[in-house]
Amino acid sequence: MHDLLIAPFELGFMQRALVISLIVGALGGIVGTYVVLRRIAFFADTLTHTVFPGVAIAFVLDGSLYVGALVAGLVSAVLFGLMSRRDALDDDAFMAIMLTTFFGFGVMVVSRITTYTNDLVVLLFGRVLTVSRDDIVVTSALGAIAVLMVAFAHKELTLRAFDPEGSMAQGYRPLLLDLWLNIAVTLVVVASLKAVGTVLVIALLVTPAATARLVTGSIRTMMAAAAAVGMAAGVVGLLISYHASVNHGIRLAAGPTIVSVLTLSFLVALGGVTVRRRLRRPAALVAA
Amino acid sequence: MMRSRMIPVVALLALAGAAGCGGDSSTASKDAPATSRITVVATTTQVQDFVKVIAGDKVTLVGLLKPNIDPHDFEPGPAEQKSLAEAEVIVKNGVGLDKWLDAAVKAADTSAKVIDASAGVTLREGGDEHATEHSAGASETDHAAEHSAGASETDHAAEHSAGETAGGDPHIWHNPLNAKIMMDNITTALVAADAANAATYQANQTAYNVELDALDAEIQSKINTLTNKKLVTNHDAFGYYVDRYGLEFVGAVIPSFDTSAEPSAADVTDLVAQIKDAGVKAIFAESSLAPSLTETIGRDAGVTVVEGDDSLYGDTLGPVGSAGETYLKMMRHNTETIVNALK
Amino acid sequence: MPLPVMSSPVMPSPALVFDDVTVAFDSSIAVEGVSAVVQPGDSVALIGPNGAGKSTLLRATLGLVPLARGSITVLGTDPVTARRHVAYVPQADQLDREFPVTVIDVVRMGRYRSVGWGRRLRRSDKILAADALERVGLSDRAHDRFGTLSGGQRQRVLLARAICQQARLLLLDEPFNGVDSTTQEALLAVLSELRNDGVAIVMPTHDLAVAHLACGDACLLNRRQVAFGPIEDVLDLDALRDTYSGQQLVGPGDQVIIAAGHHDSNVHHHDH
Repeated sequence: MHDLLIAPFELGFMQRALVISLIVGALGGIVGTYVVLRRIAFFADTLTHTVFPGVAIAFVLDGSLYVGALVAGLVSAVLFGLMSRRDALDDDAFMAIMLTTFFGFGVMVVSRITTYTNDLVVLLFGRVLTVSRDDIVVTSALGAIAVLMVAFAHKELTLRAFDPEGSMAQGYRPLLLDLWLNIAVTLVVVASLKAVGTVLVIALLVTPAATARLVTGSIRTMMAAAAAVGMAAGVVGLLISYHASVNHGIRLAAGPTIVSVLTLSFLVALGGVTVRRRLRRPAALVAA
Repeated sequence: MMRSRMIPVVALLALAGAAGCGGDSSTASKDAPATSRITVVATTTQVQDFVKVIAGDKVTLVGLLKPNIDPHDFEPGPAEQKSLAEAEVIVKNGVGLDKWLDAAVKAADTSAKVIDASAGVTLREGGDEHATEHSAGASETDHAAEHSAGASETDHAAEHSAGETAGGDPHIWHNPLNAKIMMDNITTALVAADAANAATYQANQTAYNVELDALDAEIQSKINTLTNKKLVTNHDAFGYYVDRYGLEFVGAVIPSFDTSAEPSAADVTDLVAQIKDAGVKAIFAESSLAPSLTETIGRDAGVTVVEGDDSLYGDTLGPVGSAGETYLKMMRHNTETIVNALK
Repeated sequence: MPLPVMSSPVMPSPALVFDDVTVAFDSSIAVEGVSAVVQPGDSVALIGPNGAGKSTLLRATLGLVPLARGSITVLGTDPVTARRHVAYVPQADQLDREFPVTVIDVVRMGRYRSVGWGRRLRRSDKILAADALERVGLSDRAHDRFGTLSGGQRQRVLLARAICQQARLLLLDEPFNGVDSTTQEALLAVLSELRNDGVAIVMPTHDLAVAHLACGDACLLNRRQVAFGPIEDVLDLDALRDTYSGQQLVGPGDQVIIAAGHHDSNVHHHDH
């Protein structure tokens, strides 16, 4: 048992990987609760793709990739907020266009670089095993801001998610609330760059909260469960990746493994709920 | 409503952050292994082979890259990280080929010495575009067109200034004389780390130098039998070989030292034209890269594509049992293949 | 902060004044020529076919759409400033039944504006919410998930939410749509109590029978104001024809009136 659960985390790099996975898992669960309740998972996905060109440009200019990601993310968060007011396009189509445009632009920037692009691949998929102390500090700081933001506006965000019209009628400006949440989501995306990268962070934002939604009945418990699921997946994913690599010579990248664990827990929860529903129906109504 | 719930969560985040700072304490190397053999971690298959030649079973060798795996972009997994933490000596190829190693070594908190095998090797400089242009005789208009199309000087500047000679060609081992220098760097490091076996290491190095000289002469005489020496490869990996033995490099499918670059439509069209104009007899696929683009160009240009088991070993050695399982075999295989295809 | 109470029995300050109100979207008129005065304790039914401008008028009262002409005075001031003293009750079916909120959670949402950003609900807020829920007769369901209630019950919960906003003006969007008779009775009772407390009520509705029971006044709309005044006076057949030209209408006693096109120079036959 010790070898299975404790030994892997006696190594420095594994400890740091664990810490950042726990933080990022909790963040995804907490902020992701609002994403799921507001039903903006696709939009959140769009946001994660718009971060990429900022990262690419920062790379070309030899600047901080975190700063590049932050700037790009905040710009697009604001842009989306403003554009959605105009109802110029159906929101869905608009988002798809934005997503592909931003990401394509990022790829164009990358293709002009003929030197090694290893650093950029790292930011797409994360390199949780080479996380440094500075990375943890940055992640914690950004994460703390995101959590404080959503805590501050919790009831207003909940009302907006539940009854958008009522929220407007009570005098809350939807643009302001949406912008607030968008920015919190962007902060979580940038905070998770090193751990899982921009491509997979959407899983952290959506899956834990979606899983929690299936099994809880109130927002409080949903958020707690989501954070728990996010963190647990981090631990389990790291352990699986470690044991596969060290004891069996099978290479399973840590980031994607964590995401797979998340998906698995969602499916298990979904299966459990479905089975429970079937069992509850009166026998006469159940098809043979 | 939410405040009370937020406090424990924020506390958890703070705690985690503090723990992360604490997690830096050196749990790096475990207790010294029972045997007195030192642990040497080597990145590429080539330097792994060199370490084997020099040290035999006097050291515990851990190789990070496996044969036929692209070395330009590698993600060390937990086992690799662990081995870095436990090593006494780490050998890398250098010249930016194993740039991914830097972050991994830093994260591993290792006390090992990192040896750059390329120290002292004269590098082929220059941006890859220049290399292909000049050897293919491309006109100045191509270059000018590139600049006006928006390829700013900042791109090239970034290439040259970024880190350690990132613009230099890292495939230094294809010239046996460079291999000698690499061997020397490795031997010096092993002797310093493990003085007890110094004599063995030096003896092995000396013996191998003789082999390398023989190899060098052999390749030169074989290449000299060719009349048509025009070479087209999958990516620009054979610069040192071409320079040493007097081949004529027409171009590469991926016009870069790095394998992740994508040739543009213009690049592909130009290469097909160059192949036809120069009268290239055959073009060559590589063992660690997908051959599809090479095959397409070969079809369009109407030349033979040398691939499959005959692929050249550009970036790595081959697996055990293959024609490229050691450095010497690999060089001989490449030479045989090229000579047979171009004669 | 509550607005000062005007306690002049002779001439109380009106809760809501429409003065020649016109709302337009992109140069096409949604509703025009609305003039009406609603006193505290009054209850006005907005009657008209779909697209007549009833919802638009509600939105204008909340300050959510700009006016092309005229003015709206809500509780003595402009609509936006008055918002926190105006309660809006949407149709319950618009809300997601799977959303993880309890009944009492929903009622408490009415207190958010008073509580303010970044702060938690106080004990007084929770008491107000509990009282409001009591008034609509659903205290026993307080901790059930909102979505598990029937349509009519959910409508009552939303009314409770509006009540604990302690608003002086209540806007109810078709509250009697498809509700059962128990709910209808409960709603009518509560509305009557609120009117006695001096709350003014405006509610669009299709159902003329209920309009008679719930409201003292009526405003007939068909993209323009056709009539406004005490309900018995306003709901005569000619006015209704004008309002509903060519459309089906449910009259008192569930009679179905199908109004033919009116031969009036103002009315043209359209093909929609």
